[in-house]
Amino acid sequence: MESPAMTLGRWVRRSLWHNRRAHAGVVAGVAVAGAILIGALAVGDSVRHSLAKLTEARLEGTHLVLAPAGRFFREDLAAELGAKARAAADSWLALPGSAARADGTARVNRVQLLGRRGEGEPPAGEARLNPALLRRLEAEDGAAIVVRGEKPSALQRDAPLARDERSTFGMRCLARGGGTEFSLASDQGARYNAELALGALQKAAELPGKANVLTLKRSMSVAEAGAALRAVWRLADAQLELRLLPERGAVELRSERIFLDAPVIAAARSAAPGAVGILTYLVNELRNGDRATPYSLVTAIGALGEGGGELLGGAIPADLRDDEIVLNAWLAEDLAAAEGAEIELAYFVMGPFKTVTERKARFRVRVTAPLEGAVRDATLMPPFPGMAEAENCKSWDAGLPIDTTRIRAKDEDYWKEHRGTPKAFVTLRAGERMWGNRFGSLTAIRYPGGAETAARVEARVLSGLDPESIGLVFEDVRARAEAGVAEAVDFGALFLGMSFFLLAAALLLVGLLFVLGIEGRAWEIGTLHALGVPRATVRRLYLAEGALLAAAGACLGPLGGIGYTQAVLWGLGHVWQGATGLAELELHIAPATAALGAAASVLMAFAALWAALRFQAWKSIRSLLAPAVRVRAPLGARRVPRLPSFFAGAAALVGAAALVLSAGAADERARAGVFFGAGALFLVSGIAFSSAVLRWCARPRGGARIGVAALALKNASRRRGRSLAAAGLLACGAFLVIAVGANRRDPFRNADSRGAGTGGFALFADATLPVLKDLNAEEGRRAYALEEDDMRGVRVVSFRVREGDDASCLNLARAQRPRLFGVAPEALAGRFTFAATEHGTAAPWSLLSEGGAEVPAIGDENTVTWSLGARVGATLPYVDERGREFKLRIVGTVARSVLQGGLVIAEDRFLERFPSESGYRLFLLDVEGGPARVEAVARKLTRAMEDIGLGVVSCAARLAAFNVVEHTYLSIFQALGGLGLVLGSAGMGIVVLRNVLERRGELALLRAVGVRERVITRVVLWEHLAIVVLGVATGVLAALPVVLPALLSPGADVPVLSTAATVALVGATAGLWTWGAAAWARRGVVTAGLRDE
Amino acid sequence: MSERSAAPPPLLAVADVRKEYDLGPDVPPLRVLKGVSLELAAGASLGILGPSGSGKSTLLNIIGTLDTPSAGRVLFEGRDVGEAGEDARAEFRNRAIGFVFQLHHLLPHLTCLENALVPTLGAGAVPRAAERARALLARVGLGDKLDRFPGELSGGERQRAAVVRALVNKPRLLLADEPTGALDRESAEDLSELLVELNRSEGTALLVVTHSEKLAARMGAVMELRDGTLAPWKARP
Repeated sequence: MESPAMTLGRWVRRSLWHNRRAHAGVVAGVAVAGAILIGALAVGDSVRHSLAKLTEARLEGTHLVLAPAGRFFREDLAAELGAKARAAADSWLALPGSAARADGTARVNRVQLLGRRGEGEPPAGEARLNPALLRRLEAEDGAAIVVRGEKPSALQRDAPLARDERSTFGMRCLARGGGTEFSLASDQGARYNAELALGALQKAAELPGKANVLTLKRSMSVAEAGAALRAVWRLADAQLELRLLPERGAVELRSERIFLDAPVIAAARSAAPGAVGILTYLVNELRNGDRATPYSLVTAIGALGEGGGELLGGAIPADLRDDEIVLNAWLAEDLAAAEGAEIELAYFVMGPFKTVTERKARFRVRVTAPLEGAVRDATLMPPFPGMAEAENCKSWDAGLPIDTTRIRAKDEDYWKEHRGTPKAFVTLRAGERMWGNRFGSLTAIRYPGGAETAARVEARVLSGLDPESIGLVFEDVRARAEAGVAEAVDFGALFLGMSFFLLAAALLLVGLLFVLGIEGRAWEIGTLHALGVPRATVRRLYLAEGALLAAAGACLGPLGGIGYTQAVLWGLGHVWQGATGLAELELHIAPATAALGAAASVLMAFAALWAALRFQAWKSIRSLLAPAVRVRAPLGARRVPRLPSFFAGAAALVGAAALVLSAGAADERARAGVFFGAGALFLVSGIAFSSAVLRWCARPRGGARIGVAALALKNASRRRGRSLAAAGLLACGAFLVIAVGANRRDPFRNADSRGAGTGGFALFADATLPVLKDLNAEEGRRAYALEEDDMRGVRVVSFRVREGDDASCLNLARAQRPRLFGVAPEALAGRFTFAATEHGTAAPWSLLSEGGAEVPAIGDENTVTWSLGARVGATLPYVDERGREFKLRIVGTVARSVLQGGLVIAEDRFLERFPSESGYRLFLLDVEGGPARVEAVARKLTRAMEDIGLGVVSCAARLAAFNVVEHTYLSIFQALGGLGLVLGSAGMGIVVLRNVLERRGELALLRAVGVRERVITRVVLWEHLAIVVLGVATGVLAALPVVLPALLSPGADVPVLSTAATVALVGATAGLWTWGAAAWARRGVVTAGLRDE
Repeated sequence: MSERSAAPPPLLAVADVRKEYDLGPDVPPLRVLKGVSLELAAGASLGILGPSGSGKSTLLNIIGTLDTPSAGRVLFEGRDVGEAGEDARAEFRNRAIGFVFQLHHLLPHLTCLENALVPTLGAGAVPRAAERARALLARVGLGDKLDRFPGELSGGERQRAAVVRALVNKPRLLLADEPTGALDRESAEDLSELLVELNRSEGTALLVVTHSEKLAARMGAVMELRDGTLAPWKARP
């Protein structure tokens, strides 16, 4: 036999076993609460884990990456750098392109064509596709596909003298699975990769031995990697070349990019003595009076250092002035220009969209140089892509409008004989003034000397040039990706928030079930008190019991949590995919999460039990000992006037009305709060009026007859607090379901207004490859074979794009470096609605043109607030293409717009920071005409600009894609909230049971005096249905002021049917529980009550 | 009123205790006790008779500190127990008095012996209390049913176990509220005998409120509570 000492432990043990059936419900309730809590947190874990896994897959172990925009380096650089840095390193050639089935049945744009040397390299003729691309193409293993890409041009597309014609390549190959997921984009959206044999891709893209992405797979600092790069890099990695010109006795430094970057010039100008700068340009015309020579190359030349070398063997006078020109003999003869003659030189300068403006400059002929020796030098012309290989002048593709009719036979002869030999020479300063551009101000630097000089120049340039200054910047992509994942949307917190009602309902159930159990044992507590067991000890006994129940439930919680998580993950992968964009979410519960969730559920359940027990402790010992229902008049039936409730209700109503009226003056964000506050006050008012109604029901009435309904209402008013609590819960639930539903918006409504989220634009287009020409101009349209009719009534606003993290709500990870859009601010004047601006101004877009060291930026309100965690006035660090840090200052935010995902800055500031970014890749289009016309334009553009991978969607559809995320969250909230309400309505059943149990004596009496069971059931049912109706009606009425403005606002899309269905479901479930509890009470409790009485 | 001879101070002195219930503004209060006074010496026994609703249980609850009087005082060994705080009153109930209710109120999940030891709950292992509980249970005829649960005992046995529970802490006053009210005649007589015997052997003063004249008659003194006042009982012829 056990020690007979009566200890807490013994009591609790015995009690737990004895009351095991009653406790099962409490344990189940705690388990449900634990499951919800752990499940919600585990959803967060799982999403984070899946994101981390995706990140790992796309980085393939990469820590640092070197991916200069528009630049190419030697493929071998990776091996050399890897050896130096003692890290595994890969060189990739990554080009944008598209993939299509060879039979033309499927085509995918925005495909990344990848080539990498190594073991996994596919054989030539095969393309290894990643699963997403394989799926999109619906291609089976071995299917024939064609991948297309553009042959990159070393000379930036929008540089002067860059050719217009795009040169594309196509590769027919067999599709294979198992392609890499490698990507530098940090969003979790689908990415399409086609992995090809590096050699084959290089050959097709005409980039032999070249790569443009270098990955390092060891954790090291950016500075460390930069130092290693400086140690191993060569001129070719900066796309520079030194060539010996023995016949000129010189060494020439030139670039595949044609123009030498400013940092290169700075490093090279003193690399060896006697450096001479050369800038050769195509001029439209050289005129002397009425004689003109068309389309000639002119070289600006000058010493770069102190005491510079002789210019062209002395043919160019060292003291040539900036307004003087030297003609070669051929030109002098053609123009009949003698020394002292005034020559007018016409040339094109490049503006935005490759628009050209002809400018003129006048020079006086200083001297005529014979076309021989250093003057007869075709190598002075850099290898302009459309000219260097041209057979004749008429086949030039110089990227400038050339009137070939002006080209004479003698011009052709000159070209044939002398190729690009310049016909005239000016000073370097004059040349830079005329033809200098953002890509550079020299086309070559020459040094007197030979191989020795070349070696010296190479060493000096490599040591003097900072790779970062020309865009060879390492980035710690792993740190950035990990930071993005770490700061990603916290789905754990999100689901905790969204599961709030479910959790509250489960805890309410726990409390109710526990109280129900305790109330059944109230006499136990009374006995203990009567026997003098201290109240504290009694409380400890029951709390210990409760704590063990909570712990038992919490132990089951993780199991339920797994189920809950899996259900939610299934939902997120299917019906709620809009919330994450992730099709495959992997269940992952961190042990700490399970422990935290279990501990929190124990604590919360314990708190619920403690509160329930505390309520019991207030009761007198006598009432605890009395087993039967006490006969007492309902509180308030006689004594308490009903005026306080009425006045409280009226006061809340007035407050709510005042809030609604004040909403007009509030801004949009504050307005939501005002309406919600007003709704809450309406709710309070409704509950207060309900209280008054219940008091009214309880008042004594004359009359000799009592009906079922009257009795039921009187009963409902007896435990007014309990009835109001149940009604209040239902009211809150109904209110939230409706209010949340009202927040849905229809982007298609009012979409053509300039103040709408579409900015009044009809179409949104983005291109894989940049568009260089102005689509508003005839020339630009012609470049894409767009007829005048096709584009009638269409106006295009074009944006330059600097790729970065997608900062829209479609990206779960926190954007560390958002995409930047460069636009002429005036093009957006009057568009969109500003949510906030730094300074009040009538023209908020003009804020982008403000000067200063910080670059002004405007972003979508959601992007700035949620994706970047910033606000108006905040500054964000950014790095330009030369690795220099600068700051973006948020000067304004626009509300709910298609501009989500990036920040807009002024185009000129964009070009200052990213001169290598060619062309425009994002477009907003105004289209005159109805939807049919808009659709026709979209179709036409998509077809005409297929080669550059232009995707066109309606702005409203793009806005809808963003809204999908928000709507999905609302759906999840509604679904979980609805589920919580269904669970909460089960609490209604428990309230019914408690009421019936308390009154079983009365009910027994009713039976004893011959009232039929059916009637008793009806009394119980009507009583509680009255509470359900009161609750739901209060919630619905309180929600109306919230819904009405939303219903009346532009773009509102209140899902009336589904909301009504949810509310009806809640009401029906509560009714069902009530009916069940009433029926059970009639059969079981009343019989027991009869026996007791 | 005291049994046999008065010995100051009395164990229990009830002085002009009144109890009223407020029924609302328009309804006169319900006066249950209208000035009850009594005295009880240590080891004495008193039976209080009265019809239903006469306030017997209310008086007993006030004496046992389960309820508070509207006016008047309850002195135990000369101290006003009504002035004590809740914890002190619990301590008083636990140490100085024992309660026997009409319904046994044994806890269904505890054995007979454990139920008897419930008043020691929270006091840790009290070996002497356990010995005493065993001895008392043996004395009331439950020595072989120590491990039985209440559900396995007869009505009389349960009530006897409840009596043992009331006595386990050696109270100086045992309050019994209709202790035989829920028992059959035979069990009621057994319990009456037991209470009287324990009163004598344990020296515990006994105050019994009951309908049963037969039980009351076995007490050292008998009074009757009628219309809220206490008066000497006169046996009906």
